[in-house]
Parts: sequence; structure tokens; C-alpha cells
Amino acid sequence: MKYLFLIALIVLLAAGVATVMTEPDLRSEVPVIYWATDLSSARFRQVDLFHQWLVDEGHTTPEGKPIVELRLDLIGRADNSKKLIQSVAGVASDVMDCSIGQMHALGVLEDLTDEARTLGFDPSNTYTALETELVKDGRQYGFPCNVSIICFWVNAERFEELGVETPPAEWDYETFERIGRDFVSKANVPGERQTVFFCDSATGWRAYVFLVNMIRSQGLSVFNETMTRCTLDDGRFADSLTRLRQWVYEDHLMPSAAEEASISGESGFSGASLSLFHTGRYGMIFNGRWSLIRLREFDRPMQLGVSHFPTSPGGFPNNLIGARAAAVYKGSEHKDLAALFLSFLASESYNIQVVESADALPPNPAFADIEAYRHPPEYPNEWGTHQAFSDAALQQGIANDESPFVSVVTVARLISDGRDKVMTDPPMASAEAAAAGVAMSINDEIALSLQASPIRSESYRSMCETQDLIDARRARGEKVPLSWIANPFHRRYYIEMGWAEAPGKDAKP
Amino acid sequence: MKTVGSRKRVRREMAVGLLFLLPNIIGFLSFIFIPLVLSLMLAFSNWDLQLHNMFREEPLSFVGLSNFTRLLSESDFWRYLGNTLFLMMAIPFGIAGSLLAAILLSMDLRGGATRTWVFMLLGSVFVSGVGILAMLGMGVAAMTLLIGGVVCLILIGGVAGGSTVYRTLFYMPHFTAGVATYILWKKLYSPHTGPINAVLRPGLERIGDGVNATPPGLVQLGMWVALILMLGLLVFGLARLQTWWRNGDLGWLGLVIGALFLTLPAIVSYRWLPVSVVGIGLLVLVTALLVWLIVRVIWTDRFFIAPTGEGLGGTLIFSTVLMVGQFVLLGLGAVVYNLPVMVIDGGLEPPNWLSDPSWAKPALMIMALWAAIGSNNMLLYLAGLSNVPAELYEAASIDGAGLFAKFWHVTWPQLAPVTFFIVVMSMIYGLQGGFEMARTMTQGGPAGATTTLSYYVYTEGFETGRLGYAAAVTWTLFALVFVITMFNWKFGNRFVND
Repeated sequence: MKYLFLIALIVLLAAGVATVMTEPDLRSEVPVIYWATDLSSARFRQVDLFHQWLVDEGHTTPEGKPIVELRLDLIGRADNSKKLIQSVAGVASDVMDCSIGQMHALGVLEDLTDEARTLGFDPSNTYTALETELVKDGRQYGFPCNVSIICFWVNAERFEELGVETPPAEWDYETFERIGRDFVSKANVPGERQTVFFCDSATGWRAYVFLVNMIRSQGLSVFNETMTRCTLDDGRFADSLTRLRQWVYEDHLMPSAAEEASISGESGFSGASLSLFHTGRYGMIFNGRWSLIRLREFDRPMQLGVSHFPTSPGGFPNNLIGARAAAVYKGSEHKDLAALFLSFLASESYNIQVVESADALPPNPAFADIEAYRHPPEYPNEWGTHQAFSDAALQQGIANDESPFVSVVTVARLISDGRDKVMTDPPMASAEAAAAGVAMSINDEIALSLQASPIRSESYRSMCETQDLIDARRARGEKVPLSWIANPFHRRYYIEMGWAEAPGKDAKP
Repeated sequence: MKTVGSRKRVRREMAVGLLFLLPNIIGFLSFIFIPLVLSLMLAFSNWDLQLHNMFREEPLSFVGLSNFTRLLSESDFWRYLGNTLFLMMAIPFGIAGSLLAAILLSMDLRGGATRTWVFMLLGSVFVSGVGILAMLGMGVAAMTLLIGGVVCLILIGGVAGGSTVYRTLFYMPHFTAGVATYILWKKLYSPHTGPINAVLRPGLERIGDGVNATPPGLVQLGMWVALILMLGLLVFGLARLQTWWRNGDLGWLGLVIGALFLTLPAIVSYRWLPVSVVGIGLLVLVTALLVWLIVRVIWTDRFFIAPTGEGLGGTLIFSTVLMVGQFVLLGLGAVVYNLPVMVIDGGLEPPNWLSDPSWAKPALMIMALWAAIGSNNMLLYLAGLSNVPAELYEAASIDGAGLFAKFWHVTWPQLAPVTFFIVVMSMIYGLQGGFEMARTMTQGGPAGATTTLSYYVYTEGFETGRLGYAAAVTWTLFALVFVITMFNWKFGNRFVND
């Protein structure tokens, strides 16, 4: 028996050695870096492009080969915990697509400010609205792989066929509701179960974008100016929840969670929504430019239109902008080579690839202003829609307000819980109670995070002092220096409302 | 006296033995013991991933019991503990189901040649029939055809292959990957297009028509019937407790806890019942019954004096079953009372299983019940049943025992050790479980309705990064499991040995 065990041990050891010897890193002649990104066929093309770009830019070995090999570590978009655990354990990929705010809070991202300036991927190479997302405490930690802005894709043929007014590019709630009611009444057979909706459901991450856009159009944000307190205990948030409920249960413009579960398989990018949109069961879908990746696969090209998110009557036009940003892991052994990859993201070859593949917006807005972007020759049915997305990003895009005192994931979950309470049938709570509950939960989370760290508490106290000064100035009707405001929404809103002091008068309190 | 040579040999054999065990010992230490000790230490620290990781230098501090005190004052913890306990109410049904399945599967179901041929003939006729219907364009009934076909196959397979076929089929959910079955159930629960609601809808429509055609007062009488039945269960339970007490089969502890369990539904009924006066009436009645019990206990002579903890295990099972029964009747009563209003409001609709906070938990329980019936519990019961001596059944038959009497007086007591083991393990799994199910099907929603303690540990650990607090929740969960297991061990084990 012991010989048998001995043989087993030897075999296992040999297998272990063989595994180590055949490790890709050992077989490569050049250093290997890993890119933790989402599962998409486009990534393979982008890896090839990166290697080609290295050669074109002269980042080569004496033999003329790329100086680094990029490999993919494909992780489901929703699986953030893997990246989180790997990061804090010191074994994360060299480059990772992540929420910069969340990862920066963990301290696992490399400061890229100097490299960005040298290699040409500083914030001036992307959308101004994204600066707060990429730059934390004055230092840059990432660069976008692509930029997302969500609008309503319109199935123009379906509206025409039903004799319903086509949704305009800009609109308010009243127009949205008028056209929506007309659409559902003409598209469905009276007395039968509703199978056609004005737009797809506002659940999951869409619900978050819906609610943020809705409250911002009324001048409210998730946090106050200094991000020290959640301000959702406000009638405007309750109004938004009530209106969302009205759109689902009274106007039936979009399916409830139960109706959605019945008509949608929810798999792949955007689940079944795109198929339902293509077949006319949804008149519109609330999605990014990346919808085109799948819409182009359908046999019959659709006549498409794009409408921006509606505002409250006379409200503030806005749209939540975000980035699938790539960052360099602090524990990487090849930070300089990883930074090269971010430089590639700002390059022409990468941006053109994003433009052509329709994988959201290119990171550099200059490439959203070229003919190949605006009028792709193979897809005349899309002309006009691309411009609508880049316009939304440039003119209305405002980044998410991420407080340094509470995780963005937690905030999203708590808002989703509050929304659920109003959106269930029958509702579990009134909109006012749900709004107050969400604000209380988020503020409790802030309090907990302050208890844990004296350093964080100190910074919080100083920001609260600034907030007091802002409140006092606002109460007196005076303008506020822009540098006092950390919340990207309030910064933009203060400028638009004329409440911000001229830049020359900026002063730290 | 041992020689030097033999001592050397013993030592050498010991060394070889340890060498063989070494991989296992290293694995156990690395992946179980050391992480366990570390997690215990973590529970008393302020470890927060945002502050304490290999790139952060903020010192880790010992916070004493503050994670535990925070947990006890956290409303979320209690809510999610409540969710976990609610889901655990499916455990008794799961155990009963697996016992029933095991009893059925322990029978020899193999048919004789004639029976096999009859089933095969009937099956062929059925399959041909549904084939013709499909060809005639009656594709709407595709699901019915499919289910019918599967039933036929199962019947034919069972008759031809005997209970082995059924045992395999029943055990199938257990070796099918969890996530796959959860996705399947998600489809089954689909409110408008799922087969469950497709089956429920016509039935509910008929009930709605029936309710419409009946005077509301008459329908609402159903609540009174349910309440009378509920009271019947309560009186029966209390009377049994009193009898056991008098006979010396039950001690003080069992009597008090049993009475508490039995009266709980009536005590909380005011929250459920649509007519508050009835709730108050029930409370008065329960108080009267309790007074009666106390008077009987104090004034009646006991035949035997039992120790304090005597009979607690059996009483707990007994009173829990009656308590669940009372809750079911109470819920049914409330539903029946509201039926006329529900019908007027828009007819009786099948539930929005996973998106309705009131139905999400029962939906998960039904699925868990399905999985539990054909689980390892069934196999354990099957093994237990094969060990029951045939002579006991023969003796029972000679004494004139019927089927139920044989089960109650032979099978059930003989299976007591197996049941005890299953109860302990199910409670442990029940307290720890629910994560995969909730993550796949509801993501803990709607509005936290299906968030269990294990899911809470995950969100606290990997969403907010508070590992210290998450570890405290885990150890609290362990303490709960430990206490319940010890309780089971102390009282249930005695019941088993009896």
C-alpha cells in the first residue's frame, strides 16, 4: 500500500511540475500582463490591436516583437467580488475594468497621474464629465475603455405603423406620458393581457439610472454638495418614485417586474429586451449605444431613432454618464507596461475599433465627431442615432455622485430596496416613507464607516464644515466657490443656475 | 516488556502513518482550522477591507464585543434572521415528504408481466393520442402533452424497472446543479407564462365565479370554520400535554414550552385577522384555556412525577406541528374572509411568486421542499427502513394493527435515530442556507424579503467590506446552530433512546 501511495505522490508531484512548466507566463519570452474585463468577443480583437499598436509605436523587443503580452481574465460584469477579493489579497490582474471609486476606496489602484500626462491619457483626452470618476483626491487612477450614456432607442417603424407620434429627441414627462399612453392603447387589444409596452422595464441598474436622472432633473442629487449626507429624504425623490409607479401600474407604459419575468428570458447583453424591441413588443428600450452590437445581428435592419431621457416640466436636462474604466493594480509587477495599455485606450486605433464595433462611445470624444462614427456606411438606418448619444454625453452627461464615505454598491442596493418597496403590488410602503428609509439607511452606513476610521472622520468633519459654509451662503442667496463642491451634479447645477462663483474667486474655506 | 527493536518499529510505523496523514492534516489546518481561528479573531476586530488590506496601513484594532452589540441592535440582522427562520418552516414538511417518499420507494413496485404490458399499452395509446393532437395543430397544449408524456414514461419505467427507477428519479434533484434547478424554477414561477400559474389560473377563476355567486356572508363563514378547527387543534394539544404531564411522560419545561408554542398562533392572530374583535376573543379564549390547564396541572394528582426536562423533544415536535397547522388555518381563514373583496377588486389572480414580497419566501420554500423530498434525507430513511426488523411488523399484524398503527408504533419509533439525525442536520443547513437560492432567483429581494443570514454575511463581507462585522454575524449564526444542536442533543436524543 505504501508503495502505491508513494507512486501517487510522485505522479502528483510530476503533474505539478509539468503544470508550472507549462504556465503561459513561463512560456512567454516577454512579460505577460492580465486584463480583467467582461465577457465579450470584442476583447479578443482589442488584444490583437494592442499588440499591433505596440509594434506600430515602437514598443518592441530587439527582434521587433511587442514588449509585453496581454492576456484576458474574463469575469462576468456583475461579479465584482472576485476582483475585490483578488485585489486585497495581492493577486489581482495587472489591468482591471472596475468602478474607480470603489477600488480607490480600497487603496488598490496605482496612481497614474504622471504616466497619464507622459503617455497621453490624462482626463483631457476623454469627456469632461468623467473627470470626477477618474480623478480622486486630485490624482488620476484610470482611463475609460468606453463611455456609457443611456438613452431611449426608438423603433421608429413601430410608431409609424401604429400612427403614433414618434418620440422627439428632447421631451418632458408630459410628452413622454402622452405618447406612451397613445402607444400602449393602440398597440394592445382591449380586454386582453397587455403584451406590448411603450418601453422596457426600469429594473436593476436601469432603475438606478431612471431615478438618478429623474431626481436630478428636479435639482436633487443622492448626496449633498460635499457628499457628507444623503439627501434622498426629499419630496422630489418621493415624487420620482410615485411617478415611476404610475408609469408601471397606472399608465402601463413599462412592464412590472412580474410582467417582465413573463416576457423576458434575461440572458446575454440586455437579455430579451433587444429581441422584444426588434419585434415591436417594446416601442423603445432604455439602453446604451452597445445595443447596436446585437441589433446589427438581426436579419432585418430597423429604422431607429434616439430620444434623451425626459425631464420634469421645465426641469434640468441631464443624463448619468459612466465609464467602463480600466485601472492599474497597485500590486502589479509590470505597472509601467500596464500603463502602456491605458495609453493604447486613448489611441486612434482603439477608438476607431470602438466606433466601428458600436461598443458604447469611444473614450476620446474627438472620435465621436468623425464621419465613420456619425454615418457608418454599412448601416444607414442608424444615421442620426450615434450623434444623439455623443450629444447626450457632451451636453447632458453628469457622472454618478460617489461619496467617499459609503460604497457605491451599497448605495445602489439601498436605493433599489427603497424602490422595491414602492414598486411592489401592493406597495410595501408609501413613496415618502420609502424615500425617508433610503436616506436613513445610507446615512447610517456613512455613520458606521466613520466610526471605523479616525482618519476618515477627520476628513468628514472638515467637509461638513465646508457644507455649513455652503448652506449659509445659499441661505443668504450668495454664490458659492465651485471648489467647495465635490458632488459632480451640484457642480454642474450650480454653474447652470448661476449659483457658482466665478473661477477666479475660488477659495478654500 | 518492549524491546528496543519493537519500540523502533512502532515509532517507524507511527512516522509512516503520520506521513500518510500529513497531506490531510495540512489541508485541514490550512483550509479549515486556521481560517476558523482567524475568523473568530476577526469577529472581535474592526477589520474593514477599505481600511485594512495589504495596501492600507491603518492599524487593526481589537473592538471587544462591539460587532456583536451592533449586530443585536441592527434591525436588518433581526429581519434577516426572521427570513431565515421563516424559510426553515419548510423543514418539517421536507422531512415528512422525504419519509413518505422513502416509504413509497421501499415498496416493491415492479409489476408482473400483465401489469407491465397494460401500462405499456396505455402509454402507447396516450403518446399516439397526444401525437395526433399535436399534428392537428393543438400546439397550445404543448406543455400538457410534455408533462403527460413524462408521466407515462415514469409509470412505464417504474413498472418495468421497479423502485430503482423511482429512487433514481426522486434523487435526481439532489445531484442536479443547484443553479440550474433555480433557473428552472424561476421559469416555472413566471407569473404570466409559467406552468404553475397556468395551472392555478383556471382553478382560481372558477373559485372566483363560485365566490361571486355566493352571498359574501356565507363565504366569510369559512373563516369561522377555520378558527373553530384552529381552536380544536389548540384544545387537543393542550389536553395531550396535560395527559402526558399527569402520566409522568412530561416535565415542567416541556409543559411550559409546549403550551407556549401551542398558544402562539392565537396570541399573534390579532395581526392577521381582519376582524379585531375576533382576535381579542381568541386571546380571551386562550387565556381561559391556559387557566384551565394551570388549574388542571395544579389540582390533578399526577400518577408519576417526571424530571423537569422529561419528554421535551417529543413535545417540541408535537407542538411545532400543531402550531404550524394552526398558523395555516389562521392564514386560510383570513384569506377566505377577504375572498369576496378580492374577487370584486379584479378577480383572483395567481401570485407574482418572486416579485411579490408576500409570496417570495413561500415560493422559495416550495422549491426547497421539492428539493428536500428527494434529498439525502430520503436515502437515510430508505436505509433506516431496511433496518427495521420484519418480525416487528409480523408481531404487529398478529396484534391486529392496521397500516397506520404499524407505522405509528413500529416504523416511526424505529426510525427515531434517523429522524433525530435528519432534524439536526436540516436545522444546521437551514440556518446556514438560502444564499445560492436567493442570489440566483431574487438577489435577496424584493426589498430584502428573501435575504437570509448567509446572504447578509456575503453583502456585509464583500459589498461593504466589513469583514469583522461579517465574521461576527457568522459566529452568531454558529452560536445559534450550536445551541439548537445542543438542545436537540439533550432532549431529542433522550427521546430517541426512549
